[in-house]
Amino acid sequence: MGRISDLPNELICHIGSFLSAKEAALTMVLSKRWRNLFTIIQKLHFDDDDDEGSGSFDVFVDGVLALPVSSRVKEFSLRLKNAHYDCINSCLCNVLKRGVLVLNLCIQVADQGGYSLPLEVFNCKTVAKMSLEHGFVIDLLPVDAFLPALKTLFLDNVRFYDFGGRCAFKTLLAASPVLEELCIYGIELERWKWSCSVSSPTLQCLTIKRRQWTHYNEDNGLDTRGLAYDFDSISLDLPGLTYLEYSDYVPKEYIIVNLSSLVEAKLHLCVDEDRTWDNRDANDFNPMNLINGFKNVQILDVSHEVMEMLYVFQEVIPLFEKLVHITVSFSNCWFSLPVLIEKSPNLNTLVINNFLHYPRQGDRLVCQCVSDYSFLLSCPVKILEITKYRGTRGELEQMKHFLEKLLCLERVVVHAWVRGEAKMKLEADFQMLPKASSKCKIEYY
Amino acid sequence: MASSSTNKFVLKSNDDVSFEVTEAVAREFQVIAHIIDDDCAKKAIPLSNVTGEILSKMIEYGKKHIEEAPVDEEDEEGKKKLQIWDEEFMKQFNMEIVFQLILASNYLNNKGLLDLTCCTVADHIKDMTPDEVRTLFNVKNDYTTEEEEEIRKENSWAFE
Repeated sequence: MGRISDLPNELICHIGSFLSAKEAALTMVLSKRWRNLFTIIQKLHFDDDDDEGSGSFDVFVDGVLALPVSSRVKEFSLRLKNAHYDCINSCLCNVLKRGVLVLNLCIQVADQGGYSLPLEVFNCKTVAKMSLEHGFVIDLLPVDAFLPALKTLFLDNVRFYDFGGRCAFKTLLAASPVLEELCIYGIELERWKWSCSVSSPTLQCLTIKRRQWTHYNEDNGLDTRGLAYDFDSISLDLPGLTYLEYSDYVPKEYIIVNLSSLVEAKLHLCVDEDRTWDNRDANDFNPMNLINGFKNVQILDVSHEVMEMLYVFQEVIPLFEKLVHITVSFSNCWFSLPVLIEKSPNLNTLVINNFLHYPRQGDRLVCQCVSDYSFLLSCPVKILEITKYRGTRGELEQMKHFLEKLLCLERVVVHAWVRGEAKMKLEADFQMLPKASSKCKIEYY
Repeated sequence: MASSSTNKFVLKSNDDVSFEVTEAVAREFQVIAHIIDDDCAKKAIPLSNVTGEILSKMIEYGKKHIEEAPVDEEDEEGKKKLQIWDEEFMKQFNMEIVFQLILASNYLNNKGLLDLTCCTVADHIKDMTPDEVRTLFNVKNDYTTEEEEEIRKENSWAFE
C-alpha cells in the first residue's frame, strides 16, 4: 500500500496545488503534519472604490503573485474600474490555480476593444460559484472549456457572442455539467449573438431579468419594438428546472420548450414598453409553447402583462391541473381572472397583488369584466390574500362576492393600507359580511 | 555530430537494469539533459534513486511525449489525444507505484510527469472523507480525539 507520508512536504504541497480550498481544508484533519502544510485564505478581495483599501491594485497583484503554492484561496473578489487589462488577467490566472471555490468579478475597465476574461476562467476545476459583471462581452471559449464543479453562475450585464460559428453561451452551459443555478440580470438578448437556446440537463433554478426597457434608435435590422432580429425566438430545453423567474420582452416564438419538472414560476413578459397585450398581438407573437410548458407548474406568480397575454390566448391555453398557488396582478379590468380560475381546477391559494377592482362611476357596484363573480362558485380556493386594501365601500362590495361565492374558503389574509381608526372600521365592516364557509377566518396585517 | 533522434544513451537503474534511449527521450528528464550538456555522459548514465521498474515506465512516458508531441500551442486535437493517453497510462498503477513515480519524476525533473502523478493523487483525495484518505494513503492519525474535534470545528465550512 502506498505511503503518502514518505513524500517530502514540498511534494505533498505540489499534490495540494491540484486541490480546491475545500479539499485542502479537509486534508488538515488527516494528521498533525498535514495541518501545517496548507494555508487556507478565506477571502481575497480588492475594490478600487474602497477607500480603506490597503493601497493600489498593483500592490494587491504583487501580493497575490507572491503567494506560495501551499496557499489555497476560498473566495476571490475583484471590483475594478481603473486597472490595466494584463495586470487583471495575470492576477486571475494565478488565483485560478489556487483552488478557488468562489469567484466574483465586477470589471468595468474601458480598455481599447473591451475587456476579455482570460480563457483559464473557463477551465477552472475548482470554482463552484462564479459571478461575472459588468458590461463586457464573452465570445471566445477554449475548445476544451470545462467547469466540472460550477453549480451557481450569476451574470449581470454580460453579453455573449459567437466566435467562428461557436456560440459562447451554449459552449459555457455545455462545459458546466453540474450547473444548478443560473441568474442572468440586466439581460438584453437583442444585443447577444447566440444560438437563442438555453439548454442544460442539470439546471434547477433559472432567473432571467431585463433591466433596460427602453427603445433603441430605429436602426436597420430592428423590429417594430426596436429589437434585433436575433430576438425572434428562444428555446428553453431544461428538463430538470424546478424554478423559473423570467422577466423580459417576449420573442416572436418559443421553438423548443421542455420544462417538464417546473414547480414554481414568476413571469413578466411584455410585448412593448409602451403598451400591453391586445388581440392583434396574436398575429405577431406565439408564446403557446412557453405557456404549454407551464402545464405542470404548482406555484405561479404573474404580472398584469402575463394576465393579459393569457387572456389573448384564452381559447388555447391548457388546463393547469397541478396549479395550487397563484399570485396575480392587474392593470385595469379583470377580464383575465375568470379565464385563469377556470383553467385551474385544483387551486388552493389565490393572492391578488392589487387593490380590488370596482367601477368608479355609474350605478354598477361590480365591473362587468368579472360578470358578477360567478366563476368563483366553482373555484376550490381555501386561502385568499389581498395585498392592498383600504376598506372603501367599493372594495367591501367586492369582498362580499368573494366571501359569499368561494365555498371552500378557510382563511382570508388582508393587508390593510390604512392605520388606526380606519383600520378598526375596516375590520368591523369585514366581520359584518356574510360568509359561505363557516370555517372561514380573517387575518389583518 | 549525430542528431538527437539517432544519438543514443544508456540509462542505468539502481538495480542494474539498462535502457538504451535516444537523446531526445533522455532530454525529457532535465537532470539527464544537464549531464549530457556538461558532457559528462559516459557509456551509461547511472540513476541511483530509480528502480528499473519505475525507470521503464518513465521512459515509456517520455517516448510517447516525444513521438506524439502536439504540433504547436493551437493543436487542440493533439493535446487532447495525449491527455487521454496520460489518463490511460496512470490507470495501470497502484498507489505505491504512483508515489515512486512522483519521487522519481521529481528527482529526474520531468514537470509533465510530476504534475500528472500528483494530479492523480489529488483526484483520489477529492470526494473522499478524511478517514477514507487515511486508509488509502496509509496516513496515521496522531491527533487526540479533542484535537481532531477542534480542527474539524475550525474547518467546519469544508465539511458542509
